[in-house]
Amino acid sequence: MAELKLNGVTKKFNGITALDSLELEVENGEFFVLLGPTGAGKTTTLRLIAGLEKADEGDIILGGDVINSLNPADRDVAMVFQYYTLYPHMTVKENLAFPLKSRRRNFSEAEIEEMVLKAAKTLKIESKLERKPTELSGGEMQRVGIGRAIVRNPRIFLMDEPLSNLDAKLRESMRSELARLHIDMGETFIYVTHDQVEAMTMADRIGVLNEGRLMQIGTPDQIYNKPANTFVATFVGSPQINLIEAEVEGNELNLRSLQQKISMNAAQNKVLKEKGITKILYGIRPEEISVVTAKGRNCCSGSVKFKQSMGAEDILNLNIGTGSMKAIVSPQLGIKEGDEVILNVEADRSHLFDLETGDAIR
Amino acid sequence: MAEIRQYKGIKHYLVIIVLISITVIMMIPLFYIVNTSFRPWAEIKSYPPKLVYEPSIGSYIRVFTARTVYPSGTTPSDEELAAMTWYEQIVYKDTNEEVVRRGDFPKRYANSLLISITTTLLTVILGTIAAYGFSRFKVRGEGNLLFFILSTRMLPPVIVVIPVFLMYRTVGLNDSYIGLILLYTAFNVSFAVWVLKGFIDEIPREYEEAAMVDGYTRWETFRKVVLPQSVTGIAATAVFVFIFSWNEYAFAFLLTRNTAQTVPAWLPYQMGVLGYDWGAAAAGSVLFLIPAMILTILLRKHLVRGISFGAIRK
Repeated sequence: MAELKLNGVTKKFNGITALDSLELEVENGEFFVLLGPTGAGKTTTLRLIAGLEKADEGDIILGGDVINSLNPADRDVAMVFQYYTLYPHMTVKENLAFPLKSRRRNFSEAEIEEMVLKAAKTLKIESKLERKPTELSGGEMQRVGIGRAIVRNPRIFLMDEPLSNLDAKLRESMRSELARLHIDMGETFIYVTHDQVEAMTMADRIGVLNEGRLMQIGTPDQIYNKPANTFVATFVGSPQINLIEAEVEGNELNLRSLQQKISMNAAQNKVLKEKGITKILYGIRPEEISVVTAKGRNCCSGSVKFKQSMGAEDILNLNIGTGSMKAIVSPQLGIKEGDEVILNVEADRSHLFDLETGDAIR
Repeated sequence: MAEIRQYKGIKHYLVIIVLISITVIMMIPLFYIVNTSFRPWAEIKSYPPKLVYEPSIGSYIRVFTARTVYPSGTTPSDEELAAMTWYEQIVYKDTNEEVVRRGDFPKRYANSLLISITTTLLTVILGTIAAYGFSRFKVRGEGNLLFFILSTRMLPPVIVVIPVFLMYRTVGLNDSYIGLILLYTAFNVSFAVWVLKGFIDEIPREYEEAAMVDGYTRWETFRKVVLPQSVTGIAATAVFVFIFSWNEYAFAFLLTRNTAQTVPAWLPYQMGVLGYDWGAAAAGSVLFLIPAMILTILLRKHLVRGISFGAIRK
């Protein structure tokens, strides 16, 4: 059974549509990530689920119950906020106990003590219980923020970019800790982020949002390898996917700007013929381009305009014909700026998109 | 302190001299009033004034008592003198008067306390709730309402003293506690709303949202999350409101005669058979100063923060 379901949820702020009839289903125990740029409607979605905003249209269904009109307090959800939101006048312990002391829950002092200690232990903050939030580091503050969510047993966990205020190293370790926490608890997490690495590394499934619309839902693998449209293709992956306008000529694609023709695989050929499409966007990820020595069938040749060394890999910015592409290669190849290189792209690894709508052609 | 230490040499001493001079100038009236309150009756009006004198608490006794002068030529007998209490003896020696009963000062003082404390409580409660509403909810015509609230502070209250007097006479609120409390609360709520709105605006909404998700109603959230974080603003507002009500003279003078008369309205009437009693007035003033001083000292940390609120942003 779907734990959470959004049925055609629309939300407008002062006439501006923040969410446009959103359809979403999150399974029980799933780590679901909402990914998208700033202003995509991710946080709005989370706030609607939490009850901090009311939907203009549509239903929000949690565990089978329509919760549209329930107050946040009655929804039994837990939320971790981007800015920690630890109550400054309370100690860490009081902060953790706060959700348990609500009159809606009837816990005895002893039970509260036990639950707080358990949550603190899980997050390794037992030694900080008597401190005030101002005496904590950013990472510790966010641990307490997460602790306040896991201390009770809510129906669903909502996390609004909880790691975005942490430094890169801490973010990485918290990422794996959150993933471990999810596995240990087996609860449903909905996690909002604009960081594709967070989404790819933690999610069971990702929903990509843009301008209030759901672009694609899928596993990290599907999102990365089978992007539904150019938005998803360009938003996920760094450096960005190469997108080149192309015309269908027989069994080949003419990449005008690159002054190159490349062949398609049988499936691509078939679908383009069936749909009668002649102009497309040809997409190939930089990491799918390989440098070869002999010119094969699917080759382009070009020169290296400049090179960005990332340590483990080099990003080549290539001039090909009158256009350009990016490619990721191993530093061991010793390619320098100005070098002439021959590149191979596999048709199977390429993506074809409709030039007008940007939708994937499959 | 850190800034002061940075001044070196002559500049440092100049700063200290300026600060001391300002302090001295500010303290002169206070010193004068305390000094007068301890002068014996005979010294108060002596000219030139004596710098050195034997301090007496006669003025303090007079402010607490009502007295009559012994008719000329009559003096109390030795027995009567012996039967006198210590303070009756002081009064007799000072002004040749006989204490007839306790004075009105304690009652006026109690009136002042009652009216000021009630006003402060009412104002802070109403002000905090209204400020929270303006800060957190979309209020229809918010700008106009806030301006309307502020506009009640644009004229000095004295301007409306006559209309208020006439209205109060009609509805029978003259010389009543409730009359003064209502009036002072009405004058101060506007100030309280504006100051407290500034404070509450500074508390991020996310705290309340977190608390609501944590299982609390908006009212519980207000009590457990917003109030504790607005303590500074509430304390600063309370001090200002208390001092306003405590000091208020014009309305108290015009609207009260007896039952609800406050110290500022009563204090100027220290006219006795022997002329105006400056000593008693000074003694009353000194005693009158004390509550405001205590409150200000207790809440001084909040006050400094309160006065400079909005100046420090996170």
